[in-house]
Amino acid sequence: MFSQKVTRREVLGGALAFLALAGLSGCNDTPEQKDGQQGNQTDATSASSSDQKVLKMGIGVDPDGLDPQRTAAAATLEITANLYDTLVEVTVDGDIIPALAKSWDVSEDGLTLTFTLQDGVTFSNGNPCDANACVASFERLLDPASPKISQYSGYTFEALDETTLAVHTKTLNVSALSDFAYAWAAVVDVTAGEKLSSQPVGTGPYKLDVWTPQQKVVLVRNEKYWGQKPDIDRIEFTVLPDSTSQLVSLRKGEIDLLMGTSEQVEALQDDTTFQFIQAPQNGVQLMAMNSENKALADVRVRKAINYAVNKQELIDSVWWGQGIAIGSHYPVMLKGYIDCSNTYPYDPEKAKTLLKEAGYENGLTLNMRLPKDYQMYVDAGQIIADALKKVGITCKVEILEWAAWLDEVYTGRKYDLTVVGHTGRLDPITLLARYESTSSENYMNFSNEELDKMLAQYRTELDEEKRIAIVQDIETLLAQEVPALYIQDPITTYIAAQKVQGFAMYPIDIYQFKYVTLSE
Amino acid sequence: MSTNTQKTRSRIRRGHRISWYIAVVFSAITVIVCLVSLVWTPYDPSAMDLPMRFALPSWSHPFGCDQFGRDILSRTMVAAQPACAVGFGAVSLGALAGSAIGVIATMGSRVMRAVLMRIIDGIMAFPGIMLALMLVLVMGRGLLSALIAVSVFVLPTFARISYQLSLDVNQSLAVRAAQSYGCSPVRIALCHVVPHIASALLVQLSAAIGTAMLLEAALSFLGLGIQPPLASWGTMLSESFTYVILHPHIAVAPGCALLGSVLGFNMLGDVISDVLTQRGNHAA
Amino acid sequence: MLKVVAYRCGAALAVLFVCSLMAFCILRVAPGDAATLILGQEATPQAVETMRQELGLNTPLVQQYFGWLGGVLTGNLGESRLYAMPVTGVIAQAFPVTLLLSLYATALALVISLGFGIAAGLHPNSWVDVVARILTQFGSAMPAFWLAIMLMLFFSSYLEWFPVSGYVPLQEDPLGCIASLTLPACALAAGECGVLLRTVRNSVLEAASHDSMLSTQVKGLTRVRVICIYILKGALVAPVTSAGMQMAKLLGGTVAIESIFALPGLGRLLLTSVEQRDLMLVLGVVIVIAACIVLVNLLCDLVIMALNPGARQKQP
Repeated sequence: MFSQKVTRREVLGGALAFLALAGLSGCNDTPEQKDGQQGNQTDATSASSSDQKVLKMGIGVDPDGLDPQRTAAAATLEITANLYDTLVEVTVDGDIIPALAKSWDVSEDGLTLTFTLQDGVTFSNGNPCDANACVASFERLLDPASPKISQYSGYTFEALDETTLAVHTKTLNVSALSDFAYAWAAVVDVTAGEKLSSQPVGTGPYKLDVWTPQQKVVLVRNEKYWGQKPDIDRIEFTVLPDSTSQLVSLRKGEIDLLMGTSEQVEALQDDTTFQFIQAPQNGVQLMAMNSENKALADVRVRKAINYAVNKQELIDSVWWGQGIAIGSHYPVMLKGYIDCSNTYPYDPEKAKTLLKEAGYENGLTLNMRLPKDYQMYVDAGQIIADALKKVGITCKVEILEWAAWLDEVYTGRKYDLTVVGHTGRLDPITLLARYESTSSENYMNFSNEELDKMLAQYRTELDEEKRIAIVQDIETLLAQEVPALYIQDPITTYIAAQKVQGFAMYPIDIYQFKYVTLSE
Repeated sequence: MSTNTQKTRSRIRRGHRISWYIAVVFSAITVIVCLVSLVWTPYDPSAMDLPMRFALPSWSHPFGCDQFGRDILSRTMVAAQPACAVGFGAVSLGALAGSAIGVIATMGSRVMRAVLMRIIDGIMAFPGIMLALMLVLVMGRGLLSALIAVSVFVLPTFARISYQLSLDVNQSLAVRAAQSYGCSPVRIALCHVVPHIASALLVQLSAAIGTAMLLEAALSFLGLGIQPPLASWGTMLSESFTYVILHPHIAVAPGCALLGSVLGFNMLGDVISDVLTQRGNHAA
Repeated sequence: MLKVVAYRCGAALAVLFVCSLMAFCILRVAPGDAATLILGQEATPQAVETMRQELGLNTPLVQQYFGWLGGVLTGNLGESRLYAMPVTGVIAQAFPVTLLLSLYATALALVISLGFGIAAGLHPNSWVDVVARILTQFGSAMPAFWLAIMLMLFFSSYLEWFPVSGYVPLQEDPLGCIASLTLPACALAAGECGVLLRTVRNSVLEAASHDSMLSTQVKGLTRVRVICIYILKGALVAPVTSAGMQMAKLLGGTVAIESIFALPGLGRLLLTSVEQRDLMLVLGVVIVIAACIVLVNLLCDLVIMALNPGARQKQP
């Protein structure tokens, strides 16, 4: 149902960056090239024999290591999802299905989850992957060096026997099961220690062949894989940092799969050698407004900003119409979505009136700090700045490197306006929790008692219907209060050669190449 | 023999005249466009007109429109401002600081000379873009840091030249005489050394302007110099690179403007140098 | 003589020391906390603190510097955070690409400069000279990144003669490697030509108009012999050594071109590592490039000194 994709660091992902396109995919080799290079080899076991099925995918940036528990980058997790397994797996529709755990039970009180593991699974280095190995792996996720520590700190892990694993929580957490489907909850071989980054050891369908920084990451099939043997023998991720060279490489058959930007899609629209795999991203792209700023703390100013921007025109210009306008912090395909996109329709006159009421009829100056690596956000920011100028708000645009953006804007909260995207989550609460006044992720400094109450209520509510009702109330509240200018749930398009079959987009940042096949 | 020489001379003169024209015309256009753009451009260079995105050149938009429907002609004109600011500003700054260091070094002790010149060598050992990259990392992006980065880059050239020349001047009779009269080192530097090295520095100065503009453009191209939405030839080119396959026309104007300006100032440097050496020869 | 050589070597070492110190200081004051970056935005403050300890960010600067310098001297440039491998390993993979590219560009530039420069120097003010001058001016004024875009548009996208981007390792496919580097090398060679052509022309011109040339005419030597033996031998030392220095500089000057053509070389590595605040990697790349430049310059100086006794006297 939904799919997604996205950018480099998870929280903010969403966008297709010009220089930093995170993910693309690729499929098998181009006939001429491979024939020439490898045509003479017939040894089927050889790592590079000619009848191998090779998928070549273009990616924008190198992964930042291949250790899923030590990264915050979506681009990395997309690749590691093929090297490691998680206890449970998510389908394209967002359902949870068995993976390393063949079944699970939830205790009466909802505080204990018991997983039964597949038998006889081994890591790619031959070590057994039993319940003890899983416990060790999850405990590594709680290490201070792990970026996900806060998501898992409420859990304790226990190996009941070889193949049974219990997970305890102190308080009821309705999203517990889905926490074990995210790519960062992968089971790793802890004995490999910190070398996992460059020499990954997992149970996944593929293993690392070679990683040449700035050139390519090559995965080959893991012959010890416990599940069904994947069709593709070899996956080559080629690093292509800019959209022009990606486009040309695609046209020349140097890559088979790519997460396309809107211009690339436009350029290849009429080319029948390609197929376009499209789906909403399960993400939210928005312009955050820092309530720390005196003017932005006034809801009238925030509303005025919403009135001042023509969302559809913005989406058409920056994303070539590839997105669904939203009015609240909620992706279109997630359960409980309600359409709030028309809460504050485009109306510059009303914006001016509201600004006047708020006492800013003589103008207002705000700074807008944009993350450089995401060209789309930078473009969107500039268009919004232009629109705001027309109602009397002057934006001082500043473009920062991703690192500095994270440090100063996201963590340091030193900004007035910024444009960014948030990538997919499986459960509404993990998505919305950032608006809780005390949340460390509440970089908009938004604070609303009613909202805090509703979030607390959601966490302990066992009835699914009621939970959805709460979520919808929260959506409506956010759409009214507009702590941000919600722009769109982007539609992601993968451009693939026709022979690539079964490539799908998931609601979290993963690629599942074990389900992809190549037709000749 | 003599007719031959005359012919050659007239040819040289004609060649010089052509490069003189090119140099003056191109550099003058750059400066004039820069000044004009301060008060007038055909359109507001930052006004977006989204329906006009990627419009091809036409009578109303001679160079077409960019990815936000902004007029490329207006933006190309406005972009002459940062180019000139960095070209003139950074080079004067670098030249002043550099020649001051060079002149001062010759007045100091042996140790001080060695230390100063090693530092200068150290700066020189970094390729321009690498140096600028590190400086921009510290100071943040923007016009000011691009300006400082470029001036640090041109500084060593001036330091070296003024150092060498003032060493020579210091050996001269005039300076020795001044020293024996008990003139202060500052007075000597200002009255004897500076006038002697000024013309050589002037030649270097005009040549450095072109280099500085090129470096500024390269920095902006990499996203480290002038920041959008401000226009600079470098940022315009880097933005156009995203769309260049579908819309090659948006890369033409800024590229040509950059090439023309740098060409103009480089040739101006050559022309000035020729004039000065000729005058020098005549005097001799 | 020995004393001069020793002095030059000492000076080169001093320059390197200055470089390392400058690079280290510049990068340590750069904004952007490395620890936060590694952990992402969801990290807890304790985790960030632990990471800072681990990275040694809490020790005094001087101690950090000498710790790092000690590592450099023993061939240990630290660990790259971005690639999770030793910096030396990452650089070792990128270095050949940039070296090859610089060599290729310099070779192209040398061939063109020597061809036009010698002809222009022997026939000043002829049409060759005019062409040479135009080449010089355009070469030095041409923004390499713009030229690169235009070349890519025309030769890769339109004519499809060369691969648009990416790099084929030399040992895998020598022809493919040359093809993948041709356009970037051309874009870089234009700028090099601007500098070299002028040097070649002027030094040939000077050598040809030297008084000693008159005596060769008197001796009745053939023109070809005169050109080859008397003019070029003396005239080309300077341009060729300056080509060497240019090449060394190019090692660090390929940032934009490598980004455009997606070549996995030092320049792009530098840009990526700067943007991602991988300080150890930035320092490693900077120091390696600076060391190459200083070394090549030293070699060129020594070569000139060996060939031209006059230069030996001139102490800085």
